[in-house]
Amino acid sequence: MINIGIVGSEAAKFTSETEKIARDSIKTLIDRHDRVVSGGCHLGGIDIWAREEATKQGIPFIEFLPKTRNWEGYKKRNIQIAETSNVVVCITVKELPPGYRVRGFEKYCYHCKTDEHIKSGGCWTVKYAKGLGKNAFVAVIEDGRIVLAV
Amino acid sequence: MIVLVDRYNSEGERIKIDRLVVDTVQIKEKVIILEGGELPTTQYIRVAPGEPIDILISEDEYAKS
Repeated sequence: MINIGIVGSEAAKFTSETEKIARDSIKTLIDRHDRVVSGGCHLGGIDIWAREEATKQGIPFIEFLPKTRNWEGYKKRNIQIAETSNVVVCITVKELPPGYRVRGFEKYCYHCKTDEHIKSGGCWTVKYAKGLGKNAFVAVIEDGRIVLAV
Repeated sequence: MIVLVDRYNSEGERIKIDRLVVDTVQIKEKVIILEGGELPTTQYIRVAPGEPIDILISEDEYAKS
């Protein structure tokens, strides 16, 4: 049984175009997996699209919600996702959409130590999953396409 | 979906070597299976966290792993 964890950026970091690419990619990635695992982010985005696409495909969905909306709650939730998943994919974008209110730290992903994609909390989950010896990746939407670096 | 296949050089630096356009990506614990798109046959990529990526292993090799 293969559980795939799908995590990534919140809805505000996508445009309608990148949302479509993200949803199409989720459909592709979850296909032929036994269960989909995610974190039910209250800001929407990848977590919620993963739930919706899993439901559409009839794939059982496991959702871990944070008990508190602070790092302590998110960290425990992220660990549950990594531990329950056999593989984890974080879907994010290369650049923030026009009009996104930047707070200063979004353009550099300090989890991955790169500016090739924006910061995503999902990257922390990917890093943690790798530490558990699991197959985990960041998939980046750029130039109208998604790139999964393996 | 485009899959960017990377590997490491002798200095341990990650280098990008290929971009493959595929229809489906099946991620297993130690192997990624790519199908469709510009690929003539199903392709298998062996991956292990923290280790160099072994690209395009054969179906026979995958079956034995």
